[in-house]
Amino acid sequence: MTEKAIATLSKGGGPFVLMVEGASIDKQSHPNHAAGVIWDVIEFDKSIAVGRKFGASNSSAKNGQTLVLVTADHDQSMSIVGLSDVQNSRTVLNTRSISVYPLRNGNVFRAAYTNYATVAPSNAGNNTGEVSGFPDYVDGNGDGYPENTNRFRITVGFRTGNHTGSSVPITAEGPGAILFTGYQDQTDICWKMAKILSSNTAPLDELLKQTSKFSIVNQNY
Amino acid sequence: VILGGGVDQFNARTTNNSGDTRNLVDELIAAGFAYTSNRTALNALPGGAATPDKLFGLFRTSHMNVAYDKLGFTSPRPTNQHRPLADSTISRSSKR
Repeated sequence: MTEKAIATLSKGGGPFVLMVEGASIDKQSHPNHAAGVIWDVIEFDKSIAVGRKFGASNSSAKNGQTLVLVTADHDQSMSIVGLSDVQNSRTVLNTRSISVYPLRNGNVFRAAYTNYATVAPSNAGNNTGEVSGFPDYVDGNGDGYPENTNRFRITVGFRTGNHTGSSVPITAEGPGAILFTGYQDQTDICWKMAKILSSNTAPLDELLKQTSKFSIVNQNY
Repeated sequence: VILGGGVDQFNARTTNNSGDTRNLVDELIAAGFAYTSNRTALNALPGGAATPDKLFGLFRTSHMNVAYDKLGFTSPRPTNQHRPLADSTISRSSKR
């Protein structure tokens, strides 16, 4: 749907605004259906990939002229609270790297989504949480969705099955993206979009380019 | 471009629900929109210069299917070995 929408709107090369909603994430959150929420997030992620691909496309006359914004209109009460161990289901493990996960078959830790190369354990038998690339699900059948048949599974907690007032993230990529950095009012987003559409963003984009040169070395904590 | 569900709001309007009994699908087609109502037709739309200028596709009478159903998953079943703390963990062995 996203591909066809972009194909139609970009025909002739004129400017356009497309809004794509992952509407069922919320729909699955209301009954606290954790797996359904996550699967619809993956669906949404795929749509975002289509948008980013268009934005980055070298064959596109609009290369470098597409702003991709990803955000949410609200949070839901359900959140990931840890991991459950199928061999000891009464525990909820911390997802932070302090927890120690045992090694299985020598190559249990893999990256999600892709048929990622096996990550060699740096400390056999004592792989620690996210540093080693947990979670360990794989997409073995290549359908773009991870299988999760492993020992450790996501545990969620929820309260109301309803919307919350929590802050939601926003990511931005493309011209004027730096305007969406940091904490901001949700209602400012449309004014920022209008500003970007009506002005030259080159100075802003240069600023982002310069800032991105500052990198944190050995970010492993 | 309009793509999604909710065709009932377009071609099954009642005075009670919508305030009129217009058939918006017909009206949009008359206004020059290419209309699709299923995935096959959407994918079969011509590309390149023949890409439609205006497109609308309504694929469900109400909400679209959620991904979990679309992909044919079934709800997790607790076992002795794995007792979910609530109906809460992703548990799936194979795709149907």
